Amino acid sequence: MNKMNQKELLDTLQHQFGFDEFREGQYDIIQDIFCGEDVLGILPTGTGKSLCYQLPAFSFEGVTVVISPLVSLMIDQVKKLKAKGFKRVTAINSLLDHNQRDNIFAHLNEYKLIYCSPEMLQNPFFFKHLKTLTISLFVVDEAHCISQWGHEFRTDYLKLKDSIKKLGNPTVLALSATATPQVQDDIQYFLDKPNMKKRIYYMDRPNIAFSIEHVSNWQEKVNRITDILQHKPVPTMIYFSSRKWCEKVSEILKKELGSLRIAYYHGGMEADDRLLIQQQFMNHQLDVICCTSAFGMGVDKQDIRLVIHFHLPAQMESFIQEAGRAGRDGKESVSLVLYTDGDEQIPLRLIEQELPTEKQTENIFQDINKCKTSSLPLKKVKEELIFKNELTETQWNFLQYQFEKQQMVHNEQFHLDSKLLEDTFQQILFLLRERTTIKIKKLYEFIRWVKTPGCRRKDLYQTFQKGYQSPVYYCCDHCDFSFSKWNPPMNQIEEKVEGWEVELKRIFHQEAIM
Amino acid sequence: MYSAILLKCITKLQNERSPSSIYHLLKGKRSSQTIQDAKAYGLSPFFGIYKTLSKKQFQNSLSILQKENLITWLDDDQLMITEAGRISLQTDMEESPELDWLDGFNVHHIAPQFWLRLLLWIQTGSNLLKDESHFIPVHDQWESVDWVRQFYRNKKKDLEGHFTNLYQELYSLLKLHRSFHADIVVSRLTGYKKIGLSKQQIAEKWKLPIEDVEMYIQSSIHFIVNKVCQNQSEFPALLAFIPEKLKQLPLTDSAAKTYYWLKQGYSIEHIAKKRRLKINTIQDHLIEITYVDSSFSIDSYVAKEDKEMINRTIDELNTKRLKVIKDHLPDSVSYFMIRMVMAKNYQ
Repeated sequence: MNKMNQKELLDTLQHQFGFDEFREGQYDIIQDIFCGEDVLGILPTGTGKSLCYQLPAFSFEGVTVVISPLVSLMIDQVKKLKAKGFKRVTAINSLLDHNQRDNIFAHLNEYKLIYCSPEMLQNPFFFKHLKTLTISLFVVDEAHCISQWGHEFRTDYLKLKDSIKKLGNPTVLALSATATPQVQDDIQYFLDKPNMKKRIYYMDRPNIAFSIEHVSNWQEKVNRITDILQHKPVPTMIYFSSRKWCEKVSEILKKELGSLRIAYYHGGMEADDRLLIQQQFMNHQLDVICCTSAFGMGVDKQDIRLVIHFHLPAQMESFIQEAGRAGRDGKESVSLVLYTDGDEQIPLRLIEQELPTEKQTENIFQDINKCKTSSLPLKKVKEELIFKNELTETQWNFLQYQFEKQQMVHNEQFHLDSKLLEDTFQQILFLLRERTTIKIKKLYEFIRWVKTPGCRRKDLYQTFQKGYQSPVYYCCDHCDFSFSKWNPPMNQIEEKVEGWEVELKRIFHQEAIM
Repeated sequence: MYSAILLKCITKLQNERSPSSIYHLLKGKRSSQTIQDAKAYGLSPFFGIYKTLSKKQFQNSLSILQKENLITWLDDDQLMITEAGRISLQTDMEESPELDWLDGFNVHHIAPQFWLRLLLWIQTGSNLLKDESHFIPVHDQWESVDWVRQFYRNKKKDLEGHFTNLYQELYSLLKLHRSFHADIVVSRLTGYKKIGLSKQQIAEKWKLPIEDVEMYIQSSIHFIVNKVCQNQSEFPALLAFIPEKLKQLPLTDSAAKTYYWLKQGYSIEHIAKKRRLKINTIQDHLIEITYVDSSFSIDSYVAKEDKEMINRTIDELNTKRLKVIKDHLPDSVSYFMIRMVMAKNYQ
């Protein structure tokens, strides 16, 4: 493949994507890809990671496949691309019905960019179709999911290596916003790409000040938020670890802060309503969003001034991503963590629920053992095992992957050899304990940061990179920051109360007609 | 508004049907039992007006009505309206003319599509008139998105003129709403630099239960659809949004197929065999057809004498319960025959 010269690339960027210049990292990574090099790109959130493959995708002869772990993320990307006028894009996911899926498969060769989940890539029917195409670029988005040490771990990412080979070894681009050196090694190892070119960019954000406040209960957290927002009504996101809390606190804040426009957002809402809330926030119709980690994926609002963590995030990586949504425009912004002793209980409970418990695992093996046949189709018992043991989809996927890896399941068939069963069982127990230990360790890493006596900025970034840029405004509450000193650009809120007649006129642009 | 609808359903069903039949009615379940309930008990305006209602939500609203002493449970899975409930219903009916706008049986199958097209088109036009072509559609229901794309091709020459017409038509119809009701409908619309409110937000802003928000929006859609269809020459711009389906009978696809073969002269048994369906299913289709097509004759399925006998029994017993009616008739009269006669009566 030919290297494009800088002018050609810039032209493409301006005409097709409507940007004037490349952001840090984009140009280099795109050039590497045009040279056919495999690249590992670590770029902080909000720096336009996706452009690194979108631009080449529309210039290449063949197809670009993007593996993305979250359906909502994929759909979001496709919508944005379509809004920009790129039509030959699709996301293949579990939300499509049979007709839609068949329709896409039948016209697969017409797409330039295909998003799909790692699970979907394992679908033999889809893969058969995919193999008939020329794949120019294979993108692994959120590549940290491949590592146990990444903040998310998806077993299906471990199968990507084989898929890449079967697809004729296209150029591979692995992307992540946060990956420690250890995770970077894992990505190379599990993709079997030891010679990947590494493009690592600093993730520290010099325009964000870090502040942590220790309070004694949740009401004090609410009071503190009310107090800050009363004096500094700025575009704000407040992160919660559960839907219930998110709704509850949003309710209270609405009462306390009558002049601010507040809404909540979480994964339990209808998709259309979720989209409306997200768009209202982008469009300055909302000032404060109370949300769970479901919000933020693909949100590129530039002027968020304040990100508050009402609850503890699961680890450093997700904190850095979430806090990093503040101040994309480079103006002065703040990250605030509100901490109460005992706050770690919630994330600890979430960790427990993520994987099957030892008890569940034991029960499942007993159930399987009861089927006294030598071979048993997986399909036949899967639903019942999930139902009876109340497993979530993630929990089952973890188990199934282990079954397959230990050869207890082969070609969709259980092989019920008692020795094999016992070995697999022990192996899974070992993994469960290991995984839980890792998660807990990562949580305590964050708690350690919360309690650090030194400079928070220095401490936050040291596991990820050497050094950091000096802060543009304030550093942290241990160095120089306090809310009273903070003078952010503030919202001009004028909630006009107008009847439907004026609103309708405005929507239809009939204001001139009276 | 929503609680008035529930109270009305409970009143009209006269303890003859279980609460879950109300749920199926509101969801618009295409079963001959639900269609029969709608027709026989005079509840067809509420058929399929709340397609997103969940069972849990429904049960929850019943317990609220009970807590407010508007309904009570009889011994056996039966609900009854209380005196307080009757008064509350009476007041609501007088105060909410929108209740009469609901026309579920006739428009439930086109209302959602009409609304999705309109919402997306308003957003599209509003943005394009400001030269903004980068916006995220308010929904991504394929059929409507396709339709809007086509529609744009036809309208782009005079988008401004068309938009003014559409505005005027909508304005004149919204003018017939109570003003808070028009506020609710317009707040739901998305346009250039103005994103519509979620149902939750509307509920909070107007201090309404979220179910009422849904009902106000539905009643408005039904009202607009009917006005437009009845006065086609007055609303040419809005007429374009009415899906073709309205002109067809509101039958399920499967019942429509059965009807097709019936018209070709095939017997029930023959159609069942041909379509590999049970005879019962085909009979259900016939009942569905009888309810929606007044020109359909049941004479070849129920003899004249039988029909008269069934009608006499229904009158004497003054009930719509099939089992009771069947028990008072000779064995030669089948359930199917009774249901056909009832369907014809309540067409």
